[in-house]
Amino acid sequence: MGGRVIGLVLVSHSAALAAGLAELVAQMAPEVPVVPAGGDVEGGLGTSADRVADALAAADRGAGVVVLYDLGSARMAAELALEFVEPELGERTRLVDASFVEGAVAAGAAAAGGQSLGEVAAAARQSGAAEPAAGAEPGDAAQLGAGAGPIGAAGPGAGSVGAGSGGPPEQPAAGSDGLVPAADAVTARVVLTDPAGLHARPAAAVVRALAGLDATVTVAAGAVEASAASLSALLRLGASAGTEVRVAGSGPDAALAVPRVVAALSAAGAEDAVPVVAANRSGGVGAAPGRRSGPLRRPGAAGIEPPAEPFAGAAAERGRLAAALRQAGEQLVGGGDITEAHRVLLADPELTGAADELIGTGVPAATAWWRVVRRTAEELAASGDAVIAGRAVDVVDVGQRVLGALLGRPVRPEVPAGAVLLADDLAPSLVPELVEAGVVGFVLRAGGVRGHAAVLARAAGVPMVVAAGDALDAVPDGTPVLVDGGTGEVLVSPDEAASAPVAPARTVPRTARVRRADGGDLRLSANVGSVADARAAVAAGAAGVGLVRTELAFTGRSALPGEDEQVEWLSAVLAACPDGPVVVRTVDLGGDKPVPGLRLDQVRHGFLGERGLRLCLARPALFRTHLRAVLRAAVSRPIELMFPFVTEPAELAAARSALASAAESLRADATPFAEPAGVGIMVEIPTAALRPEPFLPDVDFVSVGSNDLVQYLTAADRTVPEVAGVYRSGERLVPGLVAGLVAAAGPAGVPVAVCGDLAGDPECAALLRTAGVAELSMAAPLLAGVRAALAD
Amino acid sequence: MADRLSATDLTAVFADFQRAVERDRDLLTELDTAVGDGDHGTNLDRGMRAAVEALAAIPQDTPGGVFNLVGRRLVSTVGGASGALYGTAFLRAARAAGAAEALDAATCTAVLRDATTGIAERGKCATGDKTMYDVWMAASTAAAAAAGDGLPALLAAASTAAGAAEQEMVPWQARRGRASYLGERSKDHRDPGAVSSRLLFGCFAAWADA
Repeated sequence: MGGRVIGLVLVSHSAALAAGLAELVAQMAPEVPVVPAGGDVEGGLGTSADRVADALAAADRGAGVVVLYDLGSARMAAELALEFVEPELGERTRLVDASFVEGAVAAGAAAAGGQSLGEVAAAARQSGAAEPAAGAEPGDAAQLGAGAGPIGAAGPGAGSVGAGSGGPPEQPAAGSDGLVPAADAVTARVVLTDPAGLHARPAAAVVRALAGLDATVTVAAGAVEASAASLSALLRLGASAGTEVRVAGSGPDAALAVPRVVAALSAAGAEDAVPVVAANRSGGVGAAPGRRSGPLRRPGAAGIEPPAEPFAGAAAERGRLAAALRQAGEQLVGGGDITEAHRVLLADPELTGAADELIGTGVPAATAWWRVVRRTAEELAASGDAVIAGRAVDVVDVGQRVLGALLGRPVRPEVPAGAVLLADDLAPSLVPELVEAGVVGFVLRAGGVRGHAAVLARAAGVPMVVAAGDALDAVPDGTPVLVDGGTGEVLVSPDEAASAPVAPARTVPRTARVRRADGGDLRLSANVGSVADARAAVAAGAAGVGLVRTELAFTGRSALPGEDEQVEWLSAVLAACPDGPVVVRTVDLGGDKPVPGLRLDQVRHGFLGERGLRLCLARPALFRTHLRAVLRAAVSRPIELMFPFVTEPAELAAARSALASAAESLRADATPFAEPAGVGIMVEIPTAALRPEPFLPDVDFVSVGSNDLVQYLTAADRTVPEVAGVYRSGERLVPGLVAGLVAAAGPAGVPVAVCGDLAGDPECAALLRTAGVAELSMAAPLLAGVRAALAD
Repeated sequence: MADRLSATDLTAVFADFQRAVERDRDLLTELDTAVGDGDHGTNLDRGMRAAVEALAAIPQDTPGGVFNLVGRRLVSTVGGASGALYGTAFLRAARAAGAAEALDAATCTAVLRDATTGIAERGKCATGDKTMYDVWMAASTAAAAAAGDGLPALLAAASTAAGAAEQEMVPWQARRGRASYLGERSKDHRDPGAVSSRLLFGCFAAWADA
């Protein structure tokens, strides 16, 4: 980059618009090459790839070019230009989805400040994300099609743990000067598995995943980047199945946000792993046992129904519909599926004709429009093809938008008592509320058996089926269905007699400890990865902390943290932890956790590679800094120390010697520190679980990490929805393995804890209590469900 | 025996394709009116005219140059999806052909593969979506299988596979583009892009046969 300035190219359908904007930017950033590429070849309204290509060459000073564009087809022109410019120039070109004017001004300022290509692109992006398409906030159900409505706040995707929302940032947010912190502070890559690509539903899940988090996240496909907070921007990416998209986040919660976005993008594929079992029977995965029936309800579809209104005359009603179509059309730019659906609805004479015809027979515009939309959507959904059924969602989405414009009001999801709720995924916090409101069953298109929503549904005794995919999208709202949360089946139009009553949910006193059958104490603790988690643990009445994840000290920033930074971070977390024993796990990097500053390879440092303790032992300097920081932070309160991902006793010995030498060096520096009160290992590799004996003389405790243990037992990646069923089959082995561990460790005086997701599963918790564990440590929100399950 | 395709040969193939599109322009437009926005025939006709004129004005001495010029002209003169998709296909083909004086069976296989990939990336489509990509994919796969039998056999196999694919797709329901919103109405329609792609592969086979 060598201090050379980044150039800007402004692609607009209007030559005058591009030229005027270039003039505006040039006035503020005279030394930045700003080249307009407006209008088509003849200079009329339109775009031209040739013009963009010429502009790219003119704007490039060798450091790269940021391209901003006004409408989706302008992006297409820019993409085509990249097909024939010099490959090197193409590689240092970034197409940025941002507000055209604000983005250009922000990018100009950043370029003038000598910032890098990534920083200039990020400055453009964050100048104010492109407006959400529906004229509503992302997350408003008006954005989402039938049943695609997010219900409430962000639900952690399957596999993510801890709802770390709220709470002040644990670290000063970079970029307090208004400029963007280093781009790509936390990054991940994910290959889209949904056959329909990044369509409305997964895009909505991505937007939802960010709710309540203080992070700026982008999703990039090829050279194009979009704000993950903007549904329309994500749809404009038009990323298809098999595309590898890059997720990058910055800000205090980036380390939480990026995995959630990845989970949301990954969960989409789960919808297609589910066959329709029979014409009247759909399959999912059972997540909370029980059989209940009720009318199927989609909160999104229930959002707007045309009201009974007087007919104002054919001309007036047609005028209203035309105006609403126009209004909804103005809110939509770009080339996403929703836009495509909208163009079709707008232009397909058969649809507008049908609505017109209905209006001609005295039906008000809203009712006429909605009938036509529903009919179209049902026809698409009935095709039996997941991709085409996805089109139905788009059509309903657009239809809802137009309906909203017609009626001039937003959408409010509501679920009647006695209903079976069909949704994409569910915020865990909403499960109890919905149960209280009378929902008798849940069917989630995505979701996971390990998701907190499922755990809470189990605790409440309400059946839930997850990973049901598009199977029920063709079933009209209000159709009676029977949910069997044990088998994962959903029967459409079932015989009412098949339903079974359910025990009412119980309220449970908040205890932090429960008795084991053998008379011992079972501690109910929380897993903590941030100050916010620690506060949540206090609020939930945790007896202690069975797992402090130190990764956030690494992943929530743009570079590897120094010793002092780690001390500061860990001290703050420890200070916020509840009373009781606290177990700090040394940093567990690799696997699915990306780390800026460490060039980790997805395979070499992946789930079967050099991760966890292996990575630390391979990088002694990193490990030493980390251990010194942990020992120094332990001055503030006593801790126990745990090494993750231990396969062999030799690794434990090496880790212990690294710990001793870190302590020795602190002593030599006369730096205050405290030895851990105990040292243990995390049992998450089958070797250690099946043969714990060699480790026992050298540990004060062991803690079972069930998430990874099950993954390695079943050879099923826990982040891949397609193998969720296989993964789950392995979970049944865990209580038996833990019982074996307890049998081996008990005589040696070594207590056994469980700190994986299974600890927070009410059913499994009961089995683990029987197995004789000393501690169950889980995400704070799950404590209530486990308490309920263990209450005598 | 035409076992290598020179720039002159390729220019002749594109001239033949231009004539085929002109001849079937109304058919293509009619097919597109049924499932799309009804401009495929007119657009492709205009684009190929411009491409053939450019090839006459600026003769190319490598197949890669021919592909590049055709792709550039299509991108420049055709709005809508067909210009972007065909343009991308030929620009990727140009890159795969590189500076080779003529295309042999091996290079042709690579050219076809990269062009096909380009269509998938630009159109965000997959096989089974009932788009031109299905035809290109069939042709590309058949070409790769026949690469050992020499260029004429390769082009004949590609053309046969393209024709079969275009026919096979007719009863399908579209999964991409505007046709995908027509639901059942997209069944039993020929996809205009698939038909024009079939014409293109037919022109290559005709050259090999000559």
